[in-house]
Amino acid sequence: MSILSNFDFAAFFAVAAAIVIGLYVTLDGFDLGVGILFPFAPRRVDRDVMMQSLEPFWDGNETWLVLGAMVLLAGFPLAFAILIPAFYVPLALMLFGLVLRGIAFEFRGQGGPLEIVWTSAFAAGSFIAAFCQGAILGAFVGRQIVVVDGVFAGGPFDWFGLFSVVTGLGVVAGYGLLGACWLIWKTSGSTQTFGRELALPTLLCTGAAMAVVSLSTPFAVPHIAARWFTWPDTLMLLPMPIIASAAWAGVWRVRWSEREWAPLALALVLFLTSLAGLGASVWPAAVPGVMTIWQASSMHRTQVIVAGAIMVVVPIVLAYMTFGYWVFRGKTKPSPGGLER
Amino acid sequence: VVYGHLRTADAVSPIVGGAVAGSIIIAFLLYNLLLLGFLWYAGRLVWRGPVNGAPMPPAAPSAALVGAIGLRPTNWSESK
Repeated sequence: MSILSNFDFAAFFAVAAAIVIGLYVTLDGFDLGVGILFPFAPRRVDRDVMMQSLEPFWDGNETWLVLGAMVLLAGFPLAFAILIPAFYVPLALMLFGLVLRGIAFEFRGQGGPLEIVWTSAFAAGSFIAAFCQGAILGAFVGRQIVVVDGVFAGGPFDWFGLFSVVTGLGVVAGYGLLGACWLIWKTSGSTQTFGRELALPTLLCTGAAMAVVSLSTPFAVPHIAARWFTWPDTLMLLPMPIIASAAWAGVWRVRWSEREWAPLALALVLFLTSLAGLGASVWPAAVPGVMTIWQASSMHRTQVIVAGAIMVVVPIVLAYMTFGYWVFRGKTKPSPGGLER
Repeated sequence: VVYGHLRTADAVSPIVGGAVAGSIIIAFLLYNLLLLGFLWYAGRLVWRGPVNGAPMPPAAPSAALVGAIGLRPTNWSESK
């Protein structure tokens, strides 16, 4: 018997998926957020700088989306087979949004009379992608997914409801906050000031959405209430909302600070603790109310191979991305290409 | 889909046809719009022509290149 036969691969994949999706949400979060803030930028020059600040990073950030989907598919095929049909519409819309904003990177820099089209496409695509991600999250946590005999049996718009609209808008606001903090860190002058100004409204909207979601889920979903309000467990989970609240207040305090990295760092803490809280609410369900991660798991041999691949691939991707961020460290330098239009 | 194990008809996702048709139509329209966008910029690039002052590619093989390959244009008649 191999030593691996007693290893809890389902828990491993759940943690791996949480890490990969968390990386996706925080990294693509700031770059979708910059797109969400695009229409509010005061001048064209600021929009040029905003886009340039993302240019080296944005498509690398989306690596984690692909990897996250693959981890879910390989680790939890039974849950994947339910979730993908259940969220077909918002997932398709999200991908169209990502296509729109991806192409806007290429075409907007060409200038000319169509520039306004690509400016709008970038903003709209970012907004749609962020909203759909939030709506999927809300539907996953807060709405019952209809499953009969291990197969999704609901309608294409089952995901849509007041709760998922609130979480969708909440994620839009949260990404906007990350985007504003990114601009504080990576840009200077008027663009940075714009980021600092926008940090407050996005922070307020994020806080409102998080408060509504955190307070309403325990009432809407009884087992989440049981998770959070069972006595000794409450003590274990309590640090998460406390750290999140402290980080939220911290962003408020440091948004005009000289330490330009501080707002982004605190916003990331806010995001990661929220995600951890969410994970604690859902654990150990792969499809809430339907199946656990152990019921949804793939066969042992697949688990061994995929787990090995993850252990090899994730450090490599992390290493080259860190290198990329290191190469393009410091403030975004205006590229000479921006002058020739 | 999996040879000898699973037929395609048995592997279909339980998605309403309308949702799939809708996404295909959106994809079709979106990609055609993007093609138009590409043609617009490619056409503009061609229409404007080369930037003034940029080096033009040589119309005929340069003397240096011909020499490097070892060809002499005058040799063609003599070799026969």
